[in-house]
Amino acid sequence: MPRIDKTLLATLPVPFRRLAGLWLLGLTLWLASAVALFR
Amino acid sequence: MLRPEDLRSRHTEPLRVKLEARFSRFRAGTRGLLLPLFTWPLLFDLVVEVVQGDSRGVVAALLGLGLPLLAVRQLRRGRVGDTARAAVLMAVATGLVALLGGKLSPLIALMLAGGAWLGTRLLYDGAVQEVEPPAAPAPPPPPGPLAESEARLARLREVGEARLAPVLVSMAAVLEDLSARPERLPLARRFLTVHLDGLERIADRLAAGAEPPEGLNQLLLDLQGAAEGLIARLRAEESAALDIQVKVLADRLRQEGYA
Repeated sequence: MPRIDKTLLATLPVPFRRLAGLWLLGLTLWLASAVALFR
Repeated sequence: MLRPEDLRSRHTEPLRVKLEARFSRFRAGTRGLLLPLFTWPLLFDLVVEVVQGDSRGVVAALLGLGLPLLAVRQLRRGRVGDTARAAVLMAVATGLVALLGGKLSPLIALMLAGGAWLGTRLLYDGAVQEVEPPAAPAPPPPPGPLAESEARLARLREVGEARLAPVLVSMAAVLEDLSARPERLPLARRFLTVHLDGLERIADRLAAGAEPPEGLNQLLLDLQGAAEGLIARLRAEESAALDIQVKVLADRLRQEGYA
């Protein structure tokens, strides 16, 4: 039986969640990579 | 008479449906491929670290490039919990890159890792229909108590000795009777062993070219008779048991005053 994972912040509107995720990943993973490059 | 709304819906609805289907197919086809794009600085960093000879930095860059790829693989597999596992992989990648590559303090690396975890969950929670992993194939059922006897009988049939055929038919009837009522098996186990052993030896000798002795036909008739007798005896025992049940029930009804 397929099921949808709604465990996290399921109440937020989906586009908002996706944008927030994008921004957060950019802030963390991209920032860490950039620091590694330019340190 | 067609109204303008009808005309419009007829022309726009299928297009909208088609576009939506195409978009969702595109989304499904490219799902997760965004994650490795965040690590593009590490590609240049890898070159820099190799040139500088910083092995720690090289390891960090390789992990930072590789772990998101693993996360993408997890995400695209789409089993239950794969989104959560992908998020953990992204968090580990971010933490290691910050700690080893960026030489940031462990606390900041931990915060960045937490942010990457949350970001991945926000991006992909609910985006993939996670399905249960396919169930492992069911183990074969344990062989029944008669499996061995049936196999031996089948082997005897394969020998194709015409003289044995009537006995084999009777034995097959015994096995059929026993498989329908396995509780009778203890009564017939010894019979099966003795008969099958004897038949196998006879079949082996005959197959090896032995001359059948005079008594063989009589022996085979005896074996056949014994098999039929066993079936009859088992049935008779059942009938006797039923007879007793009938008597007991009749007495009970009489005692209770219903009959």
